[in-house]
Amino acid sequence: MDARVRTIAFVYAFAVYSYIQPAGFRSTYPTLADRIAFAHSFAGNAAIRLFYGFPYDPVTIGGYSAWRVGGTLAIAAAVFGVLAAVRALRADEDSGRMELVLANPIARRTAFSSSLVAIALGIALLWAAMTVGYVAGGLPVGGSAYLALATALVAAVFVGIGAITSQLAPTRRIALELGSAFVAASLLLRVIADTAGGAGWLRWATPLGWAEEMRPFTGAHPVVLLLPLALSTALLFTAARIARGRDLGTGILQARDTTSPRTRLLSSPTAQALRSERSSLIAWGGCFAVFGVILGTVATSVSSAGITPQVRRQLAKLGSGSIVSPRGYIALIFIFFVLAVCLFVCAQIAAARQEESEERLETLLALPVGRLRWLGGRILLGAEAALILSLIAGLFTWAGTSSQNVHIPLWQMLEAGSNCLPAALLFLGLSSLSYALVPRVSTGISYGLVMVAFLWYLVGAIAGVPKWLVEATPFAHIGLVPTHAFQTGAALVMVAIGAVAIAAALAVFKHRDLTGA
Amino acid sequence: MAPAVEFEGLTVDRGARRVLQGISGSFAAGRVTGLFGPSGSGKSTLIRAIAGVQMRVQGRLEVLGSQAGSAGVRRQLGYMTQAPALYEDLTVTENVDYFATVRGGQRGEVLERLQLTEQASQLVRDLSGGQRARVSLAAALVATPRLLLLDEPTVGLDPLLRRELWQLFRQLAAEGCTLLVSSHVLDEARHCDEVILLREGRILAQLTPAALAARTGTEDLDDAFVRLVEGE
Repeated sequence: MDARVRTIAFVYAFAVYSYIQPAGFRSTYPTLADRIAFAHSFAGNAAIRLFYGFPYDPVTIGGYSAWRVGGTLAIAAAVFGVLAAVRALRADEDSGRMELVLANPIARRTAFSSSLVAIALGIALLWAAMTVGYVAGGLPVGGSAYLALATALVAAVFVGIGAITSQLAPTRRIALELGSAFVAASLLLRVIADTAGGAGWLRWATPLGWAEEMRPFTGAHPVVLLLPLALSTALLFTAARIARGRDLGTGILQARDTTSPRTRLLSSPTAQALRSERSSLIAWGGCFAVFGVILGTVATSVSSAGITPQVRRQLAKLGSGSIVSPRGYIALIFIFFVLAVCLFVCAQIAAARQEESEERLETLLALPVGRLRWLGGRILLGAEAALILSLIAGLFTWAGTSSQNVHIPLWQMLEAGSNCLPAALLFLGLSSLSYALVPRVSTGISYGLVMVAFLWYLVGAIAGVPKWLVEATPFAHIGLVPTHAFQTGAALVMVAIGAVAIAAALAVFKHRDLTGA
Repeated sequence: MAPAVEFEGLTVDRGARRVLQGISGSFAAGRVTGLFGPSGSGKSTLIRAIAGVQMRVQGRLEVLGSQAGSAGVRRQLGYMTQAPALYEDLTVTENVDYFATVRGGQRGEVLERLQLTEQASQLVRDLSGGQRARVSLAAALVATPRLLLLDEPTVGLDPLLRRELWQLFRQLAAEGCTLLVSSHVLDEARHCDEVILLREGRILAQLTPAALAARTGTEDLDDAFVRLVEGE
């Protein structure tokens, strides 16, 4: 993504989030008694601390914001830092543009420092966005600026980490993966520090913990500011030194560029497709499992508090029923699993298109590989992967709920997961058809269809658009298990449309010319 | 000797454009036939049609005695596209093995033949342009095809490697393989048994390099081509 677009998106999200939370807290819990009750019911819950960190003073608006907003945005700021650093310091290099830049009379040091100035500007914007958001949400200016600074400095530290991984890693992808691993490790340390008894000292071992230890609005410790400042400076200084002596396109850690041949999963084009999509499928499956467990675990605490009656009414329009019960909450959130599986099948067809645009398909089709077998294999692979993902969603959410003694039977959670399948088959068919008809633009079309259909449902349902209009989107026809029954009729219609689209896609693809990029 | 490829009234449309304009011709088995012509003259399209991956082909097109694209033909075909069609995340050996499996054969000695033994376990994404071209050729050569279709196999390669490849093509022909090699560098025509000159979707001439020189009165093949065009 373009660096400017990403910065603008982050700035916008940061400003909105830091305004909504204090404003919402003030109106939801107007009296001190309300807030104390909230602190007892909600802030003491260990599952909640997973996301938001340790609440030092959830009774005041400032303390609440420092906890809810500061804790969450610190993670987002860390991600921003790594993305920005790797994008600025590595992406141009991998695409070969850096070679052009350095061929001009621009010193390497200048290129490095001007990238950092641009990132610093981005962080300053984030800081300003948060400060404005808090002040608009009714917090005092000084405290707002300090809280925003605590979060912004997390971004600064992770820019340093991203700068180092950009120098260490041989490719951009590995630099991003290493940087993300640091974000994950920092978060893990904070989670342990905030949830396990007696592990509070671990907060000092993670930049995310430092942001908490600055104690905005709860007895500020400004001296802690020195920690992220010092670490960020040291990391950037080291990265600059490595950058000066490093050849373009290389890293301190060398890529594993040789390996003994493994011929497993190379027996046919479909097997090869599975092999190349394997890591992506494992990553999606892993995310589904983790998200499912977390969803199941927090369903009890999230649903019982913190949601105003007005918001409840709005969400109920989405068709999940009351979200005050764990079942209703799970039913509501499961629609996002459906969305994710639909996007996943689009990615599978996009991978097939890439095989064509990079001319490998042309070679394969000249060999004894049939067109129908090739595309059919890829579609089948997408359908099988969707099945696996939907099983994972159901199974792991069930595991999460079981750990909290919420009794939802396994078969019912698997049924909730199986809601992903008809929609996924529908979009698999539509993606395949657009791939067969207009290969060059098919990837954009298929993702676009899913997103438009989903937003149609989300916005249409909440905004009170006439029912028949909302029902134009397939997402409106999903019976949100476990609060509602699985809608067999609608599911069959979706599967039927998907199957017809797949058949049409195969028929068109059989006779169409291959097209390059 | 019976022709390996024979076509008559061959017309191909790509989009709204007629790329091949009803051409007829044939080329012999066990020889190296060069396909020459400027960019956009229809070289790749003719190769694609012979490989059986081109749609909207009209006219008669017989390859190894059967219709182009039929299952029997495809088992005996080696095809190398202009851009190396390789899997970057696989090693050299894995790439070659994959294409061998798809064709239902064995890797054999192709890596030795193309001097890729040292790179055998390297990932393709770490290879240089010349090495990729050789891997791509190795992938086309596995399981000893009877007909090799090579679309600009020498483009962008250094002179030394180009010469080695042409030697290999000659050797393959001597072993009984039929080769159709396209190029836009007319100088390479000297390595061929016969050349087909294409221009704007029509066959300008089909003759031996010596006959081309005799007919145009010049040893310089670029000049020869220009004279042929002007004399049209």
